[in-house]
Amino acid sequence: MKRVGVFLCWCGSNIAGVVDMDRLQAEVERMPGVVHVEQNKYTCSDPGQESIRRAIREHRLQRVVVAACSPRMHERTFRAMMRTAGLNPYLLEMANLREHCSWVHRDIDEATAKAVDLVRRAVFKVRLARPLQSGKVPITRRALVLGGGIAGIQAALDLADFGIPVVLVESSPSLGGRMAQLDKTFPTLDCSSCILTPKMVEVATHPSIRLLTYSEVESVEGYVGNFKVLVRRKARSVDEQRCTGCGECLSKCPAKVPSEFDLGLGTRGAIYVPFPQAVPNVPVIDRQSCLYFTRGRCRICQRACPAGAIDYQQEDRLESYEVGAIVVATGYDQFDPAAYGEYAYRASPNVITGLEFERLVSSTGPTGGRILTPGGGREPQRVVFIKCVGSRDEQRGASYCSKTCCMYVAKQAILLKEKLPRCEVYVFYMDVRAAGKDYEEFYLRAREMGVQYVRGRVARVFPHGDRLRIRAEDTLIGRRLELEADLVVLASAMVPRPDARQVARKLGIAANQHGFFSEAHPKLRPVETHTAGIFLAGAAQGPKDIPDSVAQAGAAASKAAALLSRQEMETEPVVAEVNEHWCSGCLRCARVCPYNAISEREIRVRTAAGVRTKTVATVNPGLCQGCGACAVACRDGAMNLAGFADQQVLAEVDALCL
Amino acid sequence: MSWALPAVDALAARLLEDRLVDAVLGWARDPDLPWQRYPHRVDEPSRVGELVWDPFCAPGLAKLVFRMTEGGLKLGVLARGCDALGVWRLIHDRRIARENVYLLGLPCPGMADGVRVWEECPEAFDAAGWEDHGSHWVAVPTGIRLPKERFLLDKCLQCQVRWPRQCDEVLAVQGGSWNPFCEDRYRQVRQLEELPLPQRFDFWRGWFERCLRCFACRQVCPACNCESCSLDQFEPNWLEREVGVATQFIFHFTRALHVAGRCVDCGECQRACPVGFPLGALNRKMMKDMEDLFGVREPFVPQESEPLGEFALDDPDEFR
Repeated sequence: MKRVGVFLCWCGSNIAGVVDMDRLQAEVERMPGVVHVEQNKYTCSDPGQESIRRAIREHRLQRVVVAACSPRMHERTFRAMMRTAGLNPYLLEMANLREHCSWVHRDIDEATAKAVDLVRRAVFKVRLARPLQSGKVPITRRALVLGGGIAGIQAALDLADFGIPVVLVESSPSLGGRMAQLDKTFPTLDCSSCILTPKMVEVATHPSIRLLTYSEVESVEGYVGNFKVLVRRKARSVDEQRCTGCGECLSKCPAKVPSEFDLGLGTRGAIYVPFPQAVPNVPVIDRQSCLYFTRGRCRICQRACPAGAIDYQQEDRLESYEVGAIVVATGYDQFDPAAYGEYAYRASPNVITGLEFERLVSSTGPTGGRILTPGGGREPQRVVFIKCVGSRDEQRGASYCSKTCCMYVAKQAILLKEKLPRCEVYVFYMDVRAAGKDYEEFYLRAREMGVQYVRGRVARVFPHGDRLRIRAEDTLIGRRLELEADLVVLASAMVPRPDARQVARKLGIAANQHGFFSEAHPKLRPVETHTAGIFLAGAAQGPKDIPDSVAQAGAAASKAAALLSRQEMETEPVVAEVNEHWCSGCLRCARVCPYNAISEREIRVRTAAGVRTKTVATVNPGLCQGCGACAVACRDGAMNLAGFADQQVLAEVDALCL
Repeated sequence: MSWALPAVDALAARLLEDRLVDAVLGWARDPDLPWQRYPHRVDEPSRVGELVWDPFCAPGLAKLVFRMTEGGLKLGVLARGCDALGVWRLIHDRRIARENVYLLGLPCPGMADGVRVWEECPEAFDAAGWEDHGSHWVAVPTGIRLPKERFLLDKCLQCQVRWPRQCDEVLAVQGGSWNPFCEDRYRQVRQLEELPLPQRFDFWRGWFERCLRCFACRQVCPACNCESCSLDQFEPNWLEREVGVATQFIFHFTRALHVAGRCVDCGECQRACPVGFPLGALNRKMMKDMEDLFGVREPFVPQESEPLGEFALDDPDEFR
């Protein structure tokens, strides 16, 4: 029988305060195979780990049980300790006496009885543990960054500065993302373009970054360190090499369509660059609106182009890239406030969203920075902001707080007051959330400038002559309010991009119920995903402002860089393995595998009727994440999860039930 | 409408002559037991006369197709609806190569319980041929009428596939895709579901006590086709060798759950059972769950994907 040592951790008073450790020890000493039991105040500490090492030496332990906290917390720590003690790290089993016991129970007798059960099942399981060996896979030293907004730009620059080649894929014709649409940024009122465009140029000129704009990821295959990414480079109809960016074509194009960049408040031609500071400064032809593509004649841009760069015959190209890590920074979208019919967003041009207001106030916007009502082209006398449109409203929007609106509304109110000092500004709010460095001060500055903050929800907005009438309630003094305004700005929620779930599917990462990508751990692994080698940055993971996005992008870049700084990496040995003798080759395991880690292969077997070939399942240990779905789906019992073998699980059941 | 044996023979002979198949699997008479038909394979066109097609061809063929085609033999199969679905179960489980079978579909008006006919009306077996008259089988030329109400096999009562599906060819002789004996496939399941828990437990315990654990149900089942049945394994020892109520529970629930969503409702398990265990009720309970919980419209028809064997990102996941 294997010699088992059990180490009972007090976790200070976390465990020892609820579990009677001496009674537990007495019970554990009687368990089969247990030759040594000891208690420690903090087993994870250096002296705690040293005492395990000493016990392994002195008592010739072959298996170790650490009864402490959740394995998610310290299994790595103790596995590393096992290695330094000369034992295979997978001959360790943890019993979770904290999260599974002391933290959720009060009664000492009951908690102690449960602790005995938890340790017993760990002892029974570890006795059947086999040493597991990790394999090694080479790592491709190149990163893919998905998304060319501020988060993607920052991640790409940071990675490139580590000396890592980067492929940056952006679906629109230019870098910049949402930040490029903003006018000024809170709480310092820096001009957004002035701090963003130099970074865009840096990306374009960085020798380590390959910039692919107007491109989309078609498919992602492979696994950490060895992804194969297929990128569709959409036909631009303009030769990027020849185009000098002179802009002759732009002014000549006879087509006029609403500009996406200006959110429909301005127009663009069929051949266009989204905004003047676009990177790359190469136009793209929108084939849906181009006269040549729709009616077969025009070609004015081709005649106007002095460089001969217009290429109507260009077609989509597929390019394949091998990368070792992926940073996902696909950004966010703005909630469509049409769901709130009472705010008359569709009914009146003078009801706009926060992002539309940014275009209205921006000097690169359709009005050249003059704040004019989109309906009448007049300077507004009074502007009303409505916060939490689609946020914190489970009925019609989302349950979460969009985090940025309080601050951008304060900013927009300040900009209004600066540009139109006589304009009255009302802000209807539920709460003002100004947690962040210098944020509260910034909000107070808005109030000091005379912005009227009214606590209460707006009941209705309706057009009234050429103005808007607003019906609301001031809940602080319990009074109904009715006022007129020229412009209503809805602080619309941040929502995931419409294709977020498809992107998650392509990448094999998870998204939460709203569609924001899920991090591996909300506190301890905030930029990792559950899929090794894929990292998150920016608002694709959840509502975020610029400082948070930039910080997260840097974190994601350094995590990716840490991975790519190695030549090869160890694979996790807790993966599925096939008993080929038992396998029927039905490949049901492959269909339930969320990671496409299982494929088929032919083997030769000797049967009574002679040698024949048979199909069996085979697991790619690089792709397998050890979830165990295949082991459950396999009727033959041919699929087993290393470290969680059927015998081990049955031994645990016996330990608890017999 | 007749049991067109000559037409069946002619088709079988043609398949062999044209070398579309290496052999044809069907049924033959037992030389000693007049009521018995056993599965029979002919390899030569000259021997198709050995095949028989009458109301006593009870045994299912699908599981045999699996064993016979393993070595690469190309097999023509006289397939009733249940046999065809069983073969397709094995094809989707990748145990039969599609190109190794040629399914010759035989529309089936239901099979008779030969033993009972022998006991009550042995002269029926003097018939030269049979006709189907809906509610009766009629012997030719003796004119003996066997009422189906009295003699229909249990497994044929709730048949949904009298007209065989997914075959390479269907012998277009006798119609009758509709089964007048099946009003509610889940009648027995509903009755059991309505029983109070103690009575329901007693019902099953009574059968568990009778089960001999001979594994006949598994051996005939086209969905039980594993290379190594988990119930035979020693390490881990999923099923204790001791026969007791608890281990019988494990045996029968493991069997029922391993075929859940995959059972083709051919009824062979219950027909093969020497103690008459109502295995069909367990299987249909699973089928009813497939309908109710997963919206599978015809859970007995094998599909490429099965509700319990698929990873789907849009899984409603309502069991959380």
